[in-house]
Amino acid sequence: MSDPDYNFAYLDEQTKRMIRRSLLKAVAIPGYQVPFGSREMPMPYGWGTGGIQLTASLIGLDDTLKVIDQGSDDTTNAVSIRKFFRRTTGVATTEKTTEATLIQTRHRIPETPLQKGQILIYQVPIPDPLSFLEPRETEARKMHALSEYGIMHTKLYEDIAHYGAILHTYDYPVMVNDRYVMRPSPIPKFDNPKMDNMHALQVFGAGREKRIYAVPPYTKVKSLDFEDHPFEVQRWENSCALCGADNTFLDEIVVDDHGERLFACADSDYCQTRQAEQGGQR
Amino acid sequence: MIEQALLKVEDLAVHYGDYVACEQINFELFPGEVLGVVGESGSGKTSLLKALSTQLTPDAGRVEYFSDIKGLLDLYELPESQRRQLTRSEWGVVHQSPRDGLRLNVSAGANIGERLMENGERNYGSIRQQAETWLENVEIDIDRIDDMPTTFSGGMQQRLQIARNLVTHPKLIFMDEPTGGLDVSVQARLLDLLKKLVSQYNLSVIIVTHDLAVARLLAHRLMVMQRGRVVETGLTDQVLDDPQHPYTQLLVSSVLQP
Amino acid sequence: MTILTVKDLTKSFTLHHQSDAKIIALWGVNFSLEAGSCLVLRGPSGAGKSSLLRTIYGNYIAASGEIYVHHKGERVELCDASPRTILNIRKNTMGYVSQFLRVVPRVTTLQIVANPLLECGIGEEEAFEKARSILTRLNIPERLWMLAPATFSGGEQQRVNIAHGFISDHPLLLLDEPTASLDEANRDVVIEMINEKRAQGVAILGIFHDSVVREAVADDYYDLTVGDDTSD
Repeated sequence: MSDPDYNFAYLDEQTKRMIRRSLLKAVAIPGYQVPFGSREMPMPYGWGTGGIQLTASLIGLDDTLKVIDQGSDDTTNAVSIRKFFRRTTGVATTEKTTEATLIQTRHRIPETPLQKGQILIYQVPIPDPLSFLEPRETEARKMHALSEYGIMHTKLYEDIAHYGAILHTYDYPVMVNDRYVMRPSPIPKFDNPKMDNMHALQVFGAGREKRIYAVPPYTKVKSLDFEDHPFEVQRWENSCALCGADNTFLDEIVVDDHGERLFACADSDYCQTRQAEQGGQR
Repeated sequence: MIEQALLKVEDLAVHYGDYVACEQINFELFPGEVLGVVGESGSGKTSLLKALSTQLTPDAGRVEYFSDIKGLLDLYELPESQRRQLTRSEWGVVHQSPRDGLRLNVSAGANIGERLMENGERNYGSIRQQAETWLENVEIDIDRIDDMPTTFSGGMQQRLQIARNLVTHPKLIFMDEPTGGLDVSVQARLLDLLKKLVSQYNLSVIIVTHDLAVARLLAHRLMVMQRGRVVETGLTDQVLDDPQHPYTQLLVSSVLQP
Repeated sequence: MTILTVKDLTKSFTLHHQSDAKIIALWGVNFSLEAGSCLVLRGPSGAGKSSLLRTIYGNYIAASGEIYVHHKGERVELCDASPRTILNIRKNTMGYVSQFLRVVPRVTTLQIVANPLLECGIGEEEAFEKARSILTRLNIPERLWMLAPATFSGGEQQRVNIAHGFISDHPLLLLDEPTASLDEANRDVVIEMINEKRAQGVAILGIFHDSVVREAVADDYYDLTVGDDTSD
C-alpha cells in the first residue's frame, strides 16, 4: 500500500506528464540531451534525483522495481530509493534482474543481459560529454547540433600521449546511432559494450543539470577510440571469489584487519544467483 | 590569364546598434596574396576581420570564397555547419592572444592534432606524426610535444597557434595583431617564419596590425582604415612611401623611427 | 627592342598636414629605353632622379603620364596597373636596387640574397649556389653569410643589396646609386656586373653619382632639372 499523503510516485501528474514528453523526445532522438523542468526532490542532488524523477514518471502499479548502486541492491542509496518508491507507490520491488520491469541504477549495468520490455534508468551527475572541454554552453550545444566532435578525441589523444593508453576507465564517451556523442554516466567502461544493441530501453536523468537522454532498444552505441588504439575493457587476473565468474566486473574487498582482500562480483544479484545455482547442483 | 579571386568582399558592413564599426568594404584577395589592414585602434579593422572570418555576422554585404573543392561559395548564404567546416579546414585564424587561439588545458600535440581529429582523422600514430612535423615547421623542439602550452613562452605560443592552423593546409589565414605583445627579437623571428610559410604554402593572408613596420615586411598590399571606412589602398611600399590620403599621411608620419 | 617607355610623366606630392603644400617632383618626363642599353639620369640634387625611379617602380604614384614596360611579351602600362600586376612585374621583369637595405631582421645574408630566386620557384640548391657565387664575387667574406646584415658596415650592406638585386634575370634594372658607399675595388666589380647585364640584353636605368661609374656604363644620358620642364 502506498502512503496516502503522497501522490502516486511522489510527483504530481502534470510534472510526470512533462517528464514523459521529454522522454519521448529523448527516445526519438537517441543520445540527444533534452532539457526538462527538473523538480526539487526530498533528497540532495547527487543522490540520484534525475533517475528518481524518471522512475517516478515511468512507474505504474503493475511494475516491478529494482534499484542498484554500483551493482549492489543493498547499499544505502539503493535501499533508500527502493523504500522511497515502496512508500509512495506501493509497487513490488525485487533484487532479481530478470524479474524487474524497471531498473534504476547508479554507475553499473547488470551482468545478466536485459530483455525486451525492461527499462534501465541511469542516474547521471554530468550529462554533457563536452563540459570541461568546451567551456561555453552555447558553443557546446552548437557542436552537438553540428556533430562536431573532434575535440572528444583530443582527450583520448592526451591519455595515449602521456600514459601510452587510454586511461578513461569509467564514464567513457560513446557515439550513439552514429550521431550524438553521449556520456554513459559513470559506469565502468567494462559495461560500455552492453549498451550496444541492448534489448532494453535505456534512459538517463540528470536532476541538477536538468537533462534527459535515452538510447532506444537495438541502437548502435560505439565507444570512441583510435584505429591504432582500439577501445578495450578492463580485465582481471582473478575470478570472483564467491561464485567463480571470470567474465564480470569485480570489486576488491578488504575482508579483515590484516589487509586480506578478495575479489567478488560487483553485481550482487548476479553473484548470488550463480552461487545458488552452484549450491543446487552440488 | 584571369585568375580566380580567393575572396571577394562586397559592401560589407558591421554595426553595433547605431555605431558603425565598418562599412562599404570592397576588395578582392588572390591566392598567395598578403593583405595588410592598418589603422589606429577603433578604426574598425578587427570588426572587419571578425566579419570576414565568420566570428561575427556582418549586417550587410557579401563575402564570396572560392574553394578548390567546393567551388564558389557565398559565405553567409552557406548553412552554418558548412561555414564552420570551411573555417576549420580551408581557413585558419591566428589570434592576438594565444588564450583565444589555443586550448591551454591540452598538450601542444593535441592542440595541433585537434583540427585533424575534427576533420575525421582517427589514427593516433598519424596525428602524432603530423603534430611533430608541424612543431618542426614552426621551429618548436619536438621534445615539447606533450607539454602544456602554458609552459611555453609568448613567441612559442604564437608559433604553436600557427602550427595548429596550418596542419590542415588551409588556403586563407586571418591574423589579428599576431606579433602584438611580443619582444621585438621574438617578433622578428615570427615575421620571418610567417614570410617563409606564406611563400612555401602559397597562403593568402589578411593581417590586421597597427604596426606599420610589420605591415611593410609581411603585406603585399595595404588597406588603410579610418572610422570604419577604407580611405586608401595600394601596394604596401607605395602606401607607406607615397601616402595619398590625409589620414594615411598622418599615420605614416606619426611612426617613431628607432 | 624597347623595354621601357615613359611618356609625359609628372609626379607631385600634396602634403595635407602642411597647409596642403604641393611639391612638383617630376614634370613632362619622356624617354624610352632599349634592351641592352644603359640610360643614366643626371641632374642636381632634388631634380627628382630618385623620384623618377620610384615612380617607375610603382613605389610612388604618378600624377599623370604613362609608363610602358615590356613584360612577358606584352606592353603593360604601369600607372593604371593593379598592385598585383605591379608585383608580378617586380617579381619577373623589373629589378630595383636602392641605396638602403630593407629586410626582415635576423634573416641571414645568404637567405636574403637567395630569396628572389626562391620566390620565383627556383630550387634551394641552385638558388643558394648562385647566392654564394654572387656574394663571393662582391667580396662579402664567407663568415658573414650566415649572419643577418643589420650589423654590417654601410659598404657591406650595399653589396648585399646589390647581390639581392642582381641575382635574378630581370630584363629591366633600376639602380639608385648602387656604388655610393663602395671602395674602388668593389666599385669596379659592380661596373663589371652592370656591363655583363648590358651584354645579356638587360635594360638599365640608373643614377650614378660617381663619374667613373657613369662613364663606364652609360650608353646615353637623360637630364632632369629642379622643378622645371625638362625635355630632351
